Amino acid sequence: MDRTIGIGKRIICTLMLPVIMYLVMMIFCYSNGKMYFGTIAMWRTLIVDIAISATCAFGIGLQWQAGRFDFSGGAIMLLSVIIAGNTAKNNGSSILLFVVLCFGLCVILSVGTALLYVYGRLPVSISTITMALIYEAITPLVFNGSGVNLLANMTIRKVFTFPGALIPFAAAIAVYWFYRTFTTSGKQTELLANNQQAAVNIGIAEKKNVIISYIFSGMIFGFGTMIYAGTAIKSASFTSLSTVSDLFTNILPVFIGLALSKYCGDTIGTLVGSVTLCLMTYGLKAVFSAEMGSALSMVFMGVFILIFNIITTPYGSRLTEWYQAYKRKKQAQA
Amino acid sequence: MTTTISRRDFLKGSVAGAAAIALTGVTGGVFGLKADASESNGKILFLANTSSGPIYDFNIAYMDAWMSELGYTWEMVYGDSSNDPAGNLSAVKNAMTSDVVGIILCQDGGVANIMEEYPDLYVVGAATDMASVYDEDGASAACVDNDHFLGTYASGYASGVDTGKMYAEEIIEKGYKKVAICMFPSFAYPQYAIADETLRSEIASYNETVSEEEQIEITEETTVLMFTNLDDNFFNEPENQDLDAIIGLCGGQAFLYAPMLTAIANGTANPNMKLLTSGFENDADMMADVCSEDGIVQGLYVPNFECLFSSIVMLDNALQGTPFADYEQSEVLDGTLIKITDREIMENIINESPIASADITKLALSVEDGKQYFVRYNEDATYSALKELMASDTFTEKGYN
Amino acid sequence: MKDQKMTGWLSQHRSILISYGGLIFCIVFFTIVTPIRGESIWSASKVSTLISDMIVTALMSVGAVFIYALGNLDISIGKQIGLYAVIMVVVGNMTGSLIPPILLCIVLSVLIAVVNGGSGPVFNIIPIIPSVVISQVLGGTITIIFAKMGTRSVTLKTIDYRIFKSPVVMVVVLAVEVAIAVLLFNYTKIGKYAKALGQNKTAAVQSGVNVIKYRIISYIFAGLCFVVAALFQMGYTGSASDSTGTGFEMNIMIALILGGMPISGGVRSKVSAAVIGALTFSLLDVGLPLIGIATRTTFIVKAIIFLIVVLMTSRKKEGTLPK
Repeated sequence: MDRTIGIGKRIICTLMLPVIMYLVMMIFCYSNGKMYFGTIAMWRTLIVDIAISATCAFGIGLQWQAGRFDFSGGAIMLLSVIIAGNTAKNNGSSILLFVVLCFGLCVILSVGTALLYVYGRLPVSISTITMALIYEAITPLVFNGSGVNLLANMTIRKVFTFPGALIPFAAAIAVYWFYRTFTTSGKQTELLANNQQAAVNIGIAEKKNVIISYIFSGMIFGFGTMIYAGTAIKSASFTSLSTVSDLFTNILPVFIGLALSKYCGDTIGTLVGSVTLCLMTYGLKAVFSAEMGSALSMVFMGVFILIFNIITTPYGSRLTEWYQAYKRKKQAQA
Repeated sequence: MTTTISRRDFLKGSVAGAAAIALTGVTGGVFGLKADASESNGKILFLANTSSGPIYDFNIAYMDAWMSELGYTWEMVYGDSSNDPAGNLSAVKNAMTSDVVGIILCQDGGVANIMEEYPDLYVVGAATDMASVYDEDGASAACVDNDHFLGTYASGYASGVDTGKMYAEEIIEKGYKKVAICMFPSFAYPQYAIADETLRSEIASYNETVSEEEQIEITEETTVLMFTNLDDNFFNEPENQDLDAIIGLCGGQAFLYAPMLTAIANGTANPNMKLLTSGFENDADMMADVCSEDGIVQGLYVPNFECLFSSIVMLDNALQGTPFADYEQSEVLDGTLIKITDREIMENIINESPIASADITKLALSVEDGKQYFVRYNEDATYSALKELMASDTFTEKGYN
Repeated sequence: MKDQKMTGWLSQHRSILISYGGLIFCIVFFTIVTPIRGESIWSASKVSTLISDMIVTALMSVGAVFIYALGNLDISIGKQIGLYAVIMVVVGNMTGSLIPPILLCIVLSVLIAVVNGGSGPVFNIIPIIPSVVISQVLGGTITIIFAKMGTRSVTLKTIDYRIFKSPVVMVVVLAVEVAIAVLLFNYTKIGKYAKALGQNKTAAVQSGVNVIKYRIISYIFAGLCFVVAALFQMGYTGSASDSTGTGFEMNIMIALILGGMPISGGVRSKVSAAVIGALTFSLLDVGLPLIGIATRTTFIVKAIIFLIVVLMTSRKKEGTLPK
């Protein structure tokens, strides 16, 4: 966060995006007779969608900030939810058991990825792809490959429906913010991302840093898994790396978070990104059919992200460069 | 920086690597191997359209029982989750071995391609209306005239007209005054679109015979579910907030039950809203809900998994070279529905049938009794008798008392 | 002296040898074991299955080598294949010939390549963003197309597509594509500059390499390979569905890694990785069920083999952790 920018400007720049999206979608929905946009009922649904999107974004973003793209997040969540969900169901639908298993399994599996990276000394993308393949391959072998269906489990569904979903959501935000703001590991991450060799030379324990970061991303994925369990019936994976594509959708709020980080920090920035994109998806699905709305939101989201990144790229916007070059040329001519 | 390695180290590494791969392959082979049948009538492939749930567990247990009785080996093949012809063909090709003599297909994507690739293979459908074969413009329409294609049975009524009439009668009998319809897309389930039309016209005809207070309202638009949960926005629409019931022309327990529960809990739907639908989930809470006093599901119409029997009979007759004397042409048979409309029937199904438990000892038609329908065991067995069996009460809820 | 030369050559080509070793081991293993289990993997039908299983992945991977050599990932490949396949079927049915849709797909692939390859350096944005965007846009577009048509799958009606199922045609097309790719990659500026940009972009730029031009050319060649791959994917059953191409970019990644391609690109990139990796993975796909391994178990076996191969080919022994 750039504290030289005034508080007012920071608040405006942070909230501008979701507020504009809210207004645009509100006009769009009202003009199509969908007057429930903006009601409590909408927010009840939307908050759960935001929770899933944001927790996945935090989990991916934590590693992204360190220059590592983690392909295994989706597989970790899938395997954890299948084991945790079935175990909890078979033991009297225990919420506590479900929560503990989601959390614990995600951390363990995430650490597994870290250990392969650290001790296998494989490039991070290869390490994470390998672990994604392994974790996905385990899903057809556990519980007879039946996946898990928690949608109608009256007890466990309290965790992933409103208002219960707010608890793991808040916990994921807290863990991410804590890691980025208060842990030495979180602060060292940026050094390692920017100049790995120099960071190691000044004494940063790279292996320890990586393992700690994966513990934290595992914790975040653990909270995300608790909510993710309620999105649909979870089937075992019968296609290699089938869990990876979802991850690429959930990375979009991270890019928005990066751009907004100078105004509000990346925690709030990523949250704002999730809110913005979820508002757009909700509005489009409200007006069009669920399928068409989902398809259109993918197209608009893609274009939106491209334009957004062109304007806010962390490497220095070309548009600004071209505009300034144009101004200088005009001045020179004058 | 290059690292020099000696020849010995390289060889060591190569041997270690090769040994590791061999060990993995052998270990996987040992744990993954199924028992060889040294003498068998060949192998049957079963292309499933699901990899979990009560129907999947039942199919495994049922196929194990019948295949061992008939002297075949068999293997489960996982079809493409989107019924993509290329995906289904690829799955079959990868599983194909020289001893495969027949295949049971639970989805119709790529039937023509499979039959073209393997012209000697006998193919029969199960729990699918094989729309791509029996529609005139269907992608696999050429299979109708192929004598290696042995027909199929539908998942429930073959004709959507019968399904529509059934639901209309239930709505009227239960006294619902305002209902909505949700269904799977028509390109995947064309009969559901016909059922939707039929239901509406039946209710319209009923409304003409009663006073205004007695009339039944069906919401204008049918909601199409693209194999995902009913969207939460559904209950944000004012017209859907006071429904008496939803008719699910789909796997309602899987895709409608949970959103309805959520909406009732959030207060955005009628707290007494009910669901009439098809499909069966053996989740304990869902089963406890069906036809219970406060339950949401008040009518469950389950295509009986045991109808797989007809596919096995057709396939075995063809493979043994003993077709029915009265069999002329492949067709789509009606699948038999188990109509769960009260709690007693549900308890019966849970405890006395293999639907929830895959317990083969609770079959409506035991393996021993079923032999009479195979020409190899009974020369007088006929296709008409098999069709009569499918139309009888044997596979309905009455078969499990 | 001879020993030193030998060890020098061995250590320089270690990863190539190991990736070939993986393929050779699979060939030897399945050649010995499958006949014992009942059917040889080299029976006519199984060879045909093998070729048809690997052809699409191999054709895509050969093109993708140019992208990966730049040090980039492209996660839009699957969606591109899906779009080209549906255009071939729909326009093919409209026109009665595959030529117009193929030409249309070529034009589209060039446009997509320009955006995918050029927008990164032109607008100075994070490199993966253009491919994420294109993946989103194409994914939504494909869904809209099928929703409008009211179906999930479309089939060629009048065009004879049997030629695309011929193993001989597949092998010939792959051989031609590989030959062109090898020529471009090893003997022209396109390949050399792609490797240079992947190895050290700053040095390449300062040496006068036009980043935008050679990135776009690399992506264009890859795009043309994707069109060819889509043709064979569509020709497999004469159909396209809304799930055609799903996950193909991951298959490419697995094939290239298995074939010994460095994921960060650079001078060690090679076209052979595409074919070796695709063939190895297809051998596992086809061979494991033949030796009696249940379908559910094949995934973990393949994953473990992948782990072993990457530990042998991609491990960095010293220094900081690899990125």
